[in-house]
Amino acid sequence: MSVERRLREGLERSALAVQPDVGRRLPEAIARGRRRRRARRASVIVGTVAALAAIGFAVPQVTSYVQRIQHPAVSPGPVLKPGPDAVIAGSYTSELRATSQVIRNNGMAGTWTLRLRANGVVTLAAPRSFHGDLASVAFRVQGDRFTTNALVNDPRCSNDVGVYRWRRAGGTLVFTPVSDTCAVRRALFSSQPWHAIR
Amino acid sequence: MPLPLALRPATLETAPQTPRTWRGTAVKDQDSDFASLYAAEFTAVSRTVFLILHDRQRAEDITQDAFIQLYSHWGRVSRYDRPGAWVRRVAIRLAVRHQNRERIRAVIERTAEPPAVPQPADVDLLRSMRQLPPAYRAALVLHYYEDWPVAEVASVLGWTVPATKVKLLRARRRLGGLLQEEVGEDVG
Repeated sequence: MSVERRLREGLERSALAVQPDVGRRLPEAIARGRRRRRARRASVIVGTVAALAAIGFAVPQVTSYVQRIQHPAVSPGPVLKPGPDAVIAGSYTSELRATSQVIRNNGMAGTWTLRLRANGVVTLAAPRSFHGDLASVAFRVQGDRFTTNALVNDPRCSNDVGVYRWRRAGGTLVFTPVSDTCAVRRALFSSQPWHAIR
Repeated sequence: MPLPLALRPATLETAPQTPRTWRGTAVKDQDSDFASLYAAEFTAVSRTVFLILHDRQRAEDITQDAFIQLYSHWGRVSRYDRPGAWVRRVAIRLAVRHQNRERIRAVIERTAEPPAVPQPADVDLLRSMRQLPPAYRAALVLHYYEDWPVAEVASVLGWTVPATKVKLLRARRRLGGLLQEEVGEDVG
């Protein structure tokens, strides 16, 4: 006899050994199938709700972020119109050392660059360790007072402006705080003198 | 054994003329359709699975799991041309997966006594088949017991058609040696 024939006949014969009690097993199959279907539906519902919640949370965040990128000068908080500020316009750099808790806790230590434009716009460049919103904002000079809303988009600065007394000696610009409730901004502007880049 | 009265296929007594607007009626019809298929296919599927596993109780359990999956997807699968083919494929995949998980046990089984299989089983054939890898066993069962074409066997086992032909040939040669039977070359 060939193997093929042996397989066909032998398997056919061997299969007859199985005589399941279908009537006993059917109710169990239906009951467990119902439970599984309910569980599957529940997981779909939970997944859908979670996805909708995530979308509901993410969409406003993304929209807000995109708006901030597209319109960096339009920031919430105090409006500060640019003024005749060419007197201290220029680019400056400052090396912040981790000398205070504010600088350490906020990852501010490192080289900062401050660009004060003649039209009253401030641009800041931070070390990589600093995670904050540096969208372009404004400053104004009135006499020896320097007012800025730099970091106004940063939640740590509570939507406020900072007022400083400024003094320039050669290529060095020094800010002394007059009033600023934002510790991060105060540390940034007044911890170290700023040195003109050009 | 007759089905319990409440679960007996009820298609002749009830629904076809009844509009399926009431959810309860739809559920009953669905259960009776499922019960009909279950009654028609369960034994055949569990026999196929048994020939792969060589364990009657486990074969019935795996077949039951496949039918439970069928029930939970019944809304979709019942619209297929052959819902029975769907459940058979699921059962075969579950069986092969189960055997792959139990490879260590399979190695032990090669040296152990064959399972107690009631007559009129071909005990020598089953004992020889147990020395083959589970997927080879499945291929032989599907091709020679279920009469599936090679392409369909390949599809279920995730192989290519040429690979399936080669594996079937190797399996038959191995069995031929063990059973001291002659081996043909053609597979198709």
